Amino acid sequence: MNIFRLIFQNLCHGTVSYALPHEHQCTSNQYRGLIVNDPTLCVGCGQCAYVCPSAAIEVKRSGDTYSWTYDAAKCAFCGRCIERCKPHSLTMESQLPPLYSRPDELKVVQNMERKKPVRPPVAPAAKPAEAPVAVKAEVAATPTAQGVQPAAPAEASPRKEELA
Amino acid sequence: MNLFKRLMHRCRRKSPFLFHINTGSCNGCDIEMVTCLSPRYDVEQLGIRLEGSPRHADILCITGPVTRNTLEAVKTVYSQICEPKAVVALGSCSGSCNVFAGSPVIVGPIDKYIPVDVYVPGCPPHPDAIIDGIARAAQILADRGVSEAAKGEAQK
Amino acid sequence: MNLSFLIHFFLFPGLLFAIPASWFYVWGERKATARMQRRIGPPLLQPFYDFVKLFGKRTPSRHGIEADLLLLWPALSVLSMVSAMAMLPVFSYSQGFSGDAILLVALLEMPSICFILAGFTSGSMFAEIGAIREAILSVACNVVFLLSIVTVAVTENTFRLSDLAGVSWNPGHWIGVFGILLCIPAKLRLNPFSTSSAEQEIYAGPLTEYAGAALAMWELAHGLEWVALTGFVATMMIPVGGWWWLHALLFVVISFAEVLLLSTFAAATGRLTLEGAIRFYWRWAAILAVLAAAAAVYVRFRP
Repeated sequence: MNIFRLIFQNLCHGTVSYALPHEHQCTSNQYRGLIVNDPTLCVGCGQCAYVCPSAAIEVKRSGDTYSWTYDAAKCAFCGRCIERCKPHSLTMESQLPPLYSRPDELKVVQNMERKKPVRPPVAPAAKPAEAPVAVKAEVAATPTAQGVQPAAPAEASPRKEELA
Repeated sequence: MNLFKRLMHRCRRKSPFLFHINTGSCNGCDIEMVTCLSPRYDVEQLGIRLEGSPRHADILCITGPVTRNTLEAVKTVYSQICEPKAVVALGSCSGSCNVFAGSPVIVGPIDKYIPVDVYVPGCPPHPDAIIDGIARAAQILADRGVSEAAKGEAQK
Repeated sequence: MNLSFLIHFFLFPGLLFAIPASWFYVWGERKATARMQRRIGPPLLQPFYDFVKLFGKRTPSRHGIEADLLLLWPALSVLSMVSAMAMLPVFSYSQGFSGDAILLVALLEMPSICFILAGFTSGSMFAEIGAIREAILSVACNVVFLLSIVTVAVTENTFRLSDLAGVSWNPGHWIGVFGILLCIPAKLRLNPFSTSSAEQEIYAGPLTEYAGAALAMWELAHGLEWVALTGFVATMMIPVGGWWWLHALLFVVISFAEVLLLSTFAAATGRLTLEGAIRFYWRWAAILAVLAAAAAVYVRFRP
């Protein structure tokens, strides 16, 4: 008669349901929701469109402007675009995509201008009297310029862990 | 008559009967829809009931991109549902074919064949979004019933 | 056609009481099942909303004799159930519509027969499967039902309803009441005997082709079956004598208690296959019912 004991316990413990209607309480900060692009960081490489399995992202270039289009209706929320994005302009918000009633209602279009590349600062030529110090300064300067790149994969791996 | 119309509007909004059809979905959206009936979300609070026959239902919930084999079945089921009715396209497959767009056996998202009232995006959509979508479809259904009745009276 | 009959048919326990009571009992069953499954369950007016909403559906037009027949079955079910309710001997004095148990049993049997015929006239194969299952199950369950009524009638030495009603300290009376209670899940198509209207398994069973107002009538007939069957058992548990309002109150309270009891058993069990269900009725219940009826006849007529 285990089932009757179960039923009695259920009646004593009460309900586990959310009382509807209630606000969205779904999401932890790890929920895979809408993709958001930061236009200040995006360089228009189109890698996100290349790896997107459902062609939800489109990047079109014409002259000095490019447009980034994202259709949340087609998105599978897999996160490949975020893994691939080198400038880290794409992030995933833990937010549900909204309901819609017309087919193209959820399309987001961003038009951006080609950004000028930013060169790292070069140290000025040193005087011969101060040669050893200057050389040391130059030698010290270049590893830091290249030091940005090793740091980037270290930055990227916590994001990969977040998405996993 | 106004009281009767208001009563009918309220009853239609408060008692949507669902019929669910899977047109080739991976079952992710179906699982999330059944989760809505489970004790955690319990849509029976809103009067939503999953019915066995299309003739008993008001709202058609479609999951999956429509495959060649299921197209005629979906059209038949849609015609069997009695007016007033509403259609909810659950999941991004039924809204836009998602990753299957362009496949030779997929004949396209369902809105090419029947009018869809609410699209619930997500892969799979969260049960909260599904419940929201069905509640919105129930509201659309109730409004549609009122407007059809008004049209019928105006024609007389 | 005197005033007492009119009151019994239209007021209490007839139409005006039976229809809201049916909504209330159906709500009670759904709410109790939900609470036992740790869910919240539907609001109180939910069966009323379902009923009214179904009237607003535009049904497909059908032609020929089939259309009339399809509308006949739910109407017949509702009418027979309301008449059965009117016949119930709630009060200790029963003027007006006093009948005997045979008529009541025939009226209580009508919805089941109409359900089977609706399945056969629907023209849908799912409806036919459901109708076949209901036919086989109702034969098995009716054997027990009729033998239980015979047991009670022989113990009380009458078939008149007003004399059958009321508590008696005869064990035959209680065995008969228990036998009737055992048949109610099959008549109401509750778990574990819900195989004839198995949702999703055979789409919607015999009611697959019904829509709109006819479906609303079927839902109403189902609710009235709840009231009539639980009420029939309740009338045999109310003590005779006392004020009329106490009788009515006890009638409602005992009926609702039976609703909760049946819901508990429905929530606790799964659906039996047709074979399992008829094995239960033919092997266990029918044998015990035959023994009980034989014992009652022997006790009554022994020299």
